[in-house]
Amino acid sequence: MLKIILNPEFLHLILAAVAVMAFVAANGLVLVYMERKIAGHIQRRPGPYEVGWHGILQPIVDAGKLIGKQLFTPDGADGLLYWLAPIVSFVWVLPLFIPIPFGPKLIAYNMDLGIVLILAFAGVNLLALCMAGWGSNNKWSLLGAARAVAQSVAYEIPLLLSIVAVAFTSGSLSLGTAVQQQGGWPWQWNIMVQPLAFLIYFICALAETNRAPFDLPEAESELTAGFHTEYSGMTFGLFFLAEYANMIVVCAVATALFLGGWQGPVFPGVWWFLAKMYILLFIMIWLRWTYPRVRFDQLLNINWKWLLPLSLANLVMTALLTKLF
Amino acid sequence: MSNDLFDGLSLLQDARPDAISTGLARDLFLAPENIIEAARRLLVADFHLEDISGLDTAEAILVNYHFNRFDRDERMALRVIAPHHCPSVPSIAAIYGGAEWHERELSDFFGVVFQGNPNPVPLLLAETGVETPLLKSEKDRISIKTVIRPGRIVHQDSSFTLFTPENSSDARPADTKEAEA
Amino acid sequence: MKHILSQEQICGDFYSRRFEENREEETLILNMGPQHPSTHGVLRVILSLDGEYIMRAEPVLGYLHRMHEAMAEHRTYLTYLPNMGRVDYLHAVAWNWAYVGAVERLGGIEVPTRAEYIRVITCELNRISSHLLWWGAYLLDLGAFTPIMYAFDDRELILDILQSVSGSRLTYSFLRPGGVAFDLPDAFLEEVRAFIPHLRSRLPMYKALVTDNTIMRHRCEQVGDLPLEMCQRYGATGPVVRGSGMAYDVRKAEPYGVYPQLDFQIPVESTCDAMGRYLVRMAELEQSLRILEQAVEAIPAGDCLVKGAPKPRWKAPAGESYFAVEGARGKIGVHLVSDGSATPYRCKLRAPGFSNLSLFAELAQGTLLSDAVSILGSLDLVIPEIDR
Repeated sequence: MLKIILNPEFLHLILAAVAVMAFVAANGLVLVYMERKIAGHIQRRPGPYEVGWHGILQPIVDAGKLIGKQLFTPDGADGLLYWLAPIVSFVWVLPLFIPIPFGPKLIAYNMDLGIVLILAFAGVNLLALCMAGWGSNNKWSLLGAARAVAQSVAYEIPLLLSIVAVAFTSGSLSLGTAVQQQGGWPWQWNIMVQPLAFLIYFICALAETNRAPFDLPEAESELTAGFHTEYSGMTFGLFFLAEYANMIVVCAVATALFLGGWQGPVFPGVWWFLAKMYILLFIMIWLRWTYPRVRFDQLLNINWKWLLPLSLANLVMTALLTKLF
Repeated sequence: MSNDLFDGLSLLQDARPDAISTGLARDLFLAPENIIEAARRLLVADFHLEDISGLDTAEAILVNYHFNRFDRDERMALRVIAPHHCPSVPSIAAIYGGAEWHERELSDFFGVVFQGNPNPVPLLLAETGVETPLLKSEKDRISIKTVIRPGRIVHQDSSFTLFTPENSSDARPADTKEAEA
Repeated sequence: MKHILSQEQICGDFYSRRFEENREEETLILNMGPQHPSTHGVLRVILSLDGEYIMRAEPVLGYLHRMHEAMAEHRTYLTYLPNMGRVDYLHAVAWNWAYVGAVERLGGIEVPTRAEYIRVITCELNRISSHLLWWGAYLLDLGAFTPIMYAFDDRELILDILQSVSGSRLTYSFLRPGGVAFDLPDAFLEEVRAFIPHLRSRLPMYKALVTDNTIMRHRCEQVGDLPLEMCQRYGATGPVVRGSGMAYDVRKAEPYGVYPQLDFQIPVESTCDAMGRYLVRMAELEQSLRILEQAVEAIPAGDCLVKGAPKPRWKAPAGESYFAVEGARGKIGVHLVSDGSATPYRCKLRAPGFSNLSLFAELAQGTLLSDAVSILGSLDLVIPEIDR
């Protein structure tokens, strides 16, 4: 027993799990603040301003408020599903951080099949949405969950195909390898080799994380609040945090696969990774506050008529070129 | 002026009121059974339904239909008399779809029953349907003649005696001093 | 198909039970409102959905019904005037105007020219503020959270200008039978002259950010096809009918005030869809600015209220009158019946939103739920005016 616990790999994993949770929590707070500040400035108002210097303590008091709210089960709701949904939604995001190479030595566990792990675990978020939608005993939640299913299932395919195209160029399914094969300078990044794949990946990432303009499952003006209509307090907070954690994952994966990861022109390290990740997060937030929402059938049209054929074509081209050269 | 619009339809009274003070180009009284045919003709003649409003008077409940045109101003008031004891009027909702809501509102406020209305449940008031807020008490009702000024009466059915000279000092049949409306 | 649930198991109220009686097979009955982020005000629509398609829709009204028409019979002509601002709080000056116009028609009251110009200026400013709020709220329904903030920013300027003359920011009771209540303060015309180029400079940005946005175009084009004959059957007026190809504007069809002396156009679109109605309202912003430009230059000196204007407890001559004005939503009509006493005998308020919403049940059949939200927004509904 003691041998298992004192095994360095196991300890490394435990430490990594704790670090990941801390990272997600810290970044969640940062993202909440960032989103509200950016939203404010885009809308020509200052955003949070009262609590702390320029509102910097706002996320903490928000968390305090959410924790202090009354937790209740709606009448007729399926208790198990209703309570399990936010937990599954949040907890299942944490393993996604394991294969991501934050720095040259900062990987929780360098897996050969890191990409497969991420894609597999990312699908579980959908399950959480379904549990929330069904378990709430609310027709609006049900509609939100139904939309989420169709949307996620549809957009997973071009996502997969664009990632596989990069895997072809790097020759492995490991994120660490993908980063090492790129260089520090922007022209050495994979985005130069696979621009279309990056674009498709980013659009699919927006759809997978239910961010505007693809935020139909939680479409506030149509479905009251979609699948999280009946949630309040910390249960809602968990969904919220899970969404931000998902955003961080997809941006981290994009940074690793397309933007050179922790590599930079000078002093390669985790700071480059974080900088690139945050630029992508900024773009995601920027898009949310600028564009209206697409309609559901238009959403699916974009996927089946445009993204899927394009990503397939991209994959075939990549395969051909990789084989030939 | 659409003089031939109601050819063949028996009107109780057809008048040209003073447009400046009333805003109406034509003021018609109809029997309830003729309102559907009148509405059909107005629809074909490009009139749109402005509103249907009620008026509680001493003689009866007056149901006023206001129609107008999109290309010029030619407001027509079609009035149907619904007696207090049995206020029932045919519904024109099959011809003018917008009438459904106006009629339901009138049922709410005055208790008038519109036969043939596709959805005769209360629109604005509670579904119990017992109140009729705009019906006045007996002593507060005034005569139609006090408020309706038909102006120059072009046609008057012999059975319609509300506005004959001995009844009203205001109605002036075939008075040439009245300007052509 | 008879529903398989017993009476106790079907919850909901009278209207949803009645709606469920004729339920189609395999449909979901959904209650949109009365508390809902995108039914502006307290509108309730019961929907029967097949997946995302609406099989049947029925608006249920009355949540904001305050019986204004009964209030009229218990107030004098002057004390009833503030009610008009509460009927449609977004274009209160137009409702004021419809009412005082009906009173003036009834009583044969003249209005001085300066007062007419003041009415035009305040009414057009109010129209612009109403359209700006509609624009922001419509995009909020479509999922864009930013334009409403920009719209409110510009609207603040108008609210400040109108507050300086009338004292209220929103529900103006500023007009009187025979003119207006107060004359313009000294800085008023300068502020309006400064506002016109400011809004003109903002409109191209709105166009680039929103009107030309592909996503927004796809949400509005070919959504809510409203042929002209349907407008005719339901009595729909205002931008709703102008978006369906008919150039009908009460300011030109039944001219009132000094509008005949002002040069402006009626924007018309013939696409009959939500985009057409949207473009009509955006073009009306420019036309209102044109009217304002002319009015601030042409306004004469003089009285703002006619001598011998009705005092409190004024008795109107017996008779009836109907007066219509062009509001931001369509034709506002007030049908006033007087028995010669100091209180109206009957005051019928013809609200444009009432007729515009009545066509929703027929229009929404077969559309998607998201399209229904887009259609409701494009009709520019203000529920207090519909329920009165």
